[in-house]
Amino acid sequence: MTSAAPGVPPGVSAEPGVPGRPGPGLSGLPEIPSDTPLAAARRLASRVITLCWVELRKIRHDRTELYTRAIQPALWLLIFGETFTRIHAIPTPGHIPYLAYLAPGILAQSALFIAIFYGIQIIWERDAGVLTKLMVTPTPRAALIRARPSPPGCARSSRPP
Amino acid sequence: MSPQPDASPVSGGGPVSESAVAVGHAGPADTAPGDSLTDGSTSGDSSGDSSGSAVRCAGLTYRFGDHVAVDRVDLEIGRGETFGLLGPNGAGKTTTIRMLTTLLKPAAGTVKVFGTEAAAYPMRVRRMIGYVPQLLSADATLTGQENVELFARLFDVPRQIRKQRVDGALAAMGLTEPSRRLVKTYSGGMIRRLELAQALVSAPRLLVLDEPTVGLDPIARSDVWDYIAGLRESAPITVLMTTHYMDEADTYCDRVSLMHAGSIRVTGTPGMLKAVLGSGATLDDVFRHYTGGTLDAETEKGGIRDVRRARRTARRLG
Repeated sequence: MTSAAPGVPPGVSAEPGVPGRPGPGLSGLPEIPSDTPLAAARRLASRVITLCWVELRKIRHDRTELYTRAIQPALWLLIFGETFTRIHAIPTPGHIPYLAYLAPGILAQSALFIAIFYGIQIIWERDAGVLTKLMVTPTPRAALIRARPSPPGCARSSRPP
Repeated sequence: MSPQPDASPVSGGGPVSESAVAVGHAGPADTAPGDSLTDGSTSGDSSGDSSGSAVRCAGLTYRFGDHVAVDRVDLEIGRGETFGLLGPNGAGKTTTIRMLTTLLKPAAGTVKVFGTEAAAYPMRVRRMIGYVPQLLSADATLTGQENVELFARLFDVPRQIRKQRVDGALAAMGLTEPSRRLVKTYSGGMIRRLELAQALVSAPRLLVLDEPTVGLDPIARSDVWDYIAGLRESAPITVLMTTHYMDEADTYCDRVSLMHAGSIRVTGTPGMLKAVLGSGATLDDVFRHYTGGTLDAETEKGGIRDVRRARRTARRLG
């Protein structure tokens, strides 16, 4: 959108606060707090949010995965759920509809699959070197694990199949 | 594929990044516009380091099983220096860097980065480091701008100045134009520059470059170096890098260390090292002189991993 840099003659303050300037740059940032539990917890929370933000951005750029992930639960609920509800082939406790009986299980299954998939993705990231780079930032290891499955998981499983 | 078109609108990396950084220097975001250099060097240090060195390793050792990858390395890098770590594959350069960047815990010895011990305070050390790994590792499924913003967030760049910083870092690397595109569409040289932007957005005091130009074509290579050199001119940032290209080390490093089989064989300015071997010697000769003979027998240990890594990088580029 704003392509300020190329046309701007040198000296015009188009992009102030450029990094690479160790002095002011660092003083502009809050100091790394002493490693109190509270500070550590806050950092963890902030990093989890950041990494969630990244995952959401990725989904925004490429929604195919969102759809492919939605296919399986949709298949289960619409095809099997509907069918078995109609034909009453499987006895359910309290004679609730089979669809209702099935739905929580499908939800759990989706969540599990997504968690597994994103767990595998950490391995891919390790191979690609992305993980290494993240580990050199002030990010607690726990955040790298914790952040992965949560946002896309939420985004996906909250999506009506 | 060629990175040149991206660089052309900003008429070369040097001047733009220079002016941009100079502006940033007096920018409103900075709390102390006056004496920024000394401000930075005092505010960052929790444990007062009168030593004045950016990095100090003492007796640094690391073992992979029985194989001693890094053997009692002593290293001192001054502030504002560009320091090159040279050596054949498997010499222990990357392992040393991994210990320096808190990715590995040294088996013995200490690393101090601006006076802070890496093993004891990894978070503080990570805050001061900008790291560009050997592999091209920007996230291909995000845009360039998002890649940089991720790192700004991870380094707690305050929200008010975040956008400014991100745009500034991208501009300094000549990536303003393609910053909205997915990184998938970038060329190798552009990804490298993007990674530099990522490393720089947090205004690190130490920039660690692990073979920044491996797998790049000659034009992209010199391009990347132009940007690094321009950055160095405008800001007193300390740079630690490894490379296999002796000409790069010769041109861009203030001092180099030659590593071989886990230990440092010689340290000095490129000119000094060449002078030892007599006039007309190149850094290649120096390299051969200190590593030659035993090279064939020794490289095999680290060789396969390196080759595999290089191939992976090549695949990503191709």
